Amino acid sequence: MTDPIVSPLVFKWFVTLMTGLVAGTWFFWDAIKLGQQMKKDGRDPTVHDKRFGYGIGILIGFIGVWGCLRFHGVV
Amino acid sequence: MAAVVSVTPVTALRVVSPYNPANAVTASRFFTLPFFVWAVHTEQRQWATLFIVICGLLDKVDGLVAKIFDCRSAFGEMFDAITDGICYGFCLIICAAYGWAPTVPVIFILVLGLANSALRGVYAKRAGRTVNYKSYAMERIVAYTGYLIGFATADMEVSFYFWLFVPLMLVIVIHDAKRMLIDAVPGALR
Repeated sequence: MTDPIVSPLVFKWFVTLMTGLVAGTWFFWDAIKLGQQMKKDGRDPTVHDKRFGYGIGILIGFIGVWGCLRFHGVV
Repeated sequence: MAAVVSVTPVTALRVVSPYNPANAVTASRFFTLPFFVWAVHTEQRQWATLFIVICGLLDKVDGLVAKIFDCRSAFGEMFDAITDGICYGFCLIICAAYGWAPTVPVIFILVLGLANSALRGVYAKRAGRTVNYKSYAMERIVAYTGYLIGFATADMEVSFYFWLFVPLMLVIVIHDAKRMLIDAVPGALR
């Protein structure tokens, strides 16, 4: 159990896809959920919490994708 | 406006034994820690990544198991949150100790994590019962924490991800602090 499991290239793409796909999906999913919450009454604390949470989710998704692009020297 | 705060409706759950399949899955996450330490100590980055992925996946599986076996409980939710904190906190410390993660952001993350735990304790006291404050933002940042360890083990844009994490978590903790300390607690016993 001391040898690498896969080649460095495969590993690099594995962590990229594990991050990029989840972060990208997360970005769009929370954007949709945020859009749904924007139609509701923002004075309701539950709605407020959801909006804040989905907003943070969008930001995290963006950071995740951006990091993947940096990892591959795209940006 | 009447205060309607988002909390997990644990009070409505039936009483279940703490020795149930979901909690067993949650507890099994601790078994990944010795292997993680071994992998970091021997500089096996791929193995270290694998063990943190397993730890993260088990976090998702326990919720599924709880639904399948209908064994959700207040204790289970608290145990899950505590296990998150211990496993991820421990792995972050190990990564920082071995120079795989930047020390300063790790210290910030641990301090903010402890502060959040203390706030949850105060919130439970205000509620007068075992209750887990449901924060949509914190759920997302906890997932990000799991990924942070993966970024450290995979040596993937470590500084970028760690330093961006700190202000995000700070904003969330401040936001949740207001909700837990100042806003009304629904169904408080006292």
